[in-house]
Amino acid sequence: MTQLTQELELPAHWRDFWALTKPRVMSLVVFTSLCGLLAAPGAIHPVIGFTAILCIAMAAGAAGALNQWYEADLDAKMKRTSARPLPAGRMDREAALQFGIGLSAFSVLIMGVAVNWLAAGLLVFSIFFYAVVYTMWLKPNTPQNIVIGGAAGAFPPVIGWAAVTGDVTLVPLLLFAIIFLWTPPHFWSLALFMKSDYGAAGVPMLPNVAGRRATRRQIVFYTLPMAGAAIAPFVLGETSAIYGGAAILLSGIFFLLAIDVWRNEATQASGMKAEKRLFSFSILYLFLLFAVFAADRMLIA
Amino acid sequence: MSEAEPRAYTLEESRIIRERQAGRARVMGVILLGFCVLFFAITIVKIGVWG
Repeated sequence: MTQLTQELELPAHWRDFWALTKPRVMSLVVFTSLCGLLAAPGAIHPVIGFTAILCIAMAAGAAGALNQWYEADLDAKMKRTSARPLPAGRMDREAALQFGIGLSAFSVLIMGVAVNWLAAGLLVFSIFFYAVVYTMWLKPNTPQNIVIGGAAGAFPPVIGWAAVTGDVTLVPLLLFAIIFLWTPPHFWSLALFMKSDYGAAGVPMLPNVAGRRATRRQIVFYTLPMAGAAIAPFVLGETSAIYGGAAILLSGIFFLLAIDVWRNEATQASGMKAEKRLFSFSILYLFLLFAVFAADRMLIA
Repeated sequence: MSEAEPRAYTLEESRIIRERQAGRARVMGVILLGFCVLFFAITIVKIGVWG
């Protein structure tokens, strides 16, 4: 009690505000939105393009801060998140809330004024979707939280695209679909070896509710439409064979790793090498797929 | 029973508070300066000076 009170009396360190923005998640958001922006037809002034990416990064940080504000009690129960600024008592909850709301408003306003209002509208919806629909509604209530909530992380490339063109067409919707369908196998492979953490916090992740067997089956099941969405831009003639080949190769590796997970029957985290491998590869998969996609589209242009 | 008086900070705590305040002020200064430059550049682009 005294330790916590003394900590709370001190002003939070600026690094704690930075930690609130979930910088590692933000890096993926920045990357996918940049790919959406580079893949879009037409031109955008570098200053406006930079501003759009900055706004998307700030909005992602704001959504992360609002998520941590709401889940502070939950985070305290999980080993993976207990060292975050709020559960560790290094920051006042109200400061996190004000920071999240302030950063959200600032990012949306700049996006609207400097870039365009469609991108700003999508930005405000994505913050709302992550902070309210996913964090407050889906995550504590349904094991399908990741499936529907995956939409929150799928918005950045669409916003990047909209920043350039001012519209949303089939290609950005395919980029949305790739991330949307990639999220369940990505998160469930993490949830499998973090099951006890989520269980302790009472979060109804699929492994806790439906069991490991069903989760491993679902991972394989989601990999198939994800691969389909990844290959679709090539099939529809929106990219060259370079991207098509890369998408087939990367999705094939993803599928084989998912099969390894499906075959694994380990119940302890120490025996879940297949799950850890799939989780690591899934991040690399998204980075490479989007990088090749953007490069391919730029070459075509 | 009256509420306990808030205790005074120790020298060490005061030093940590000042350090954190100074750190936050420095970071805020850099961010504000960055936004000044960015808004200037946006304005120049929007009025069409750079095409």
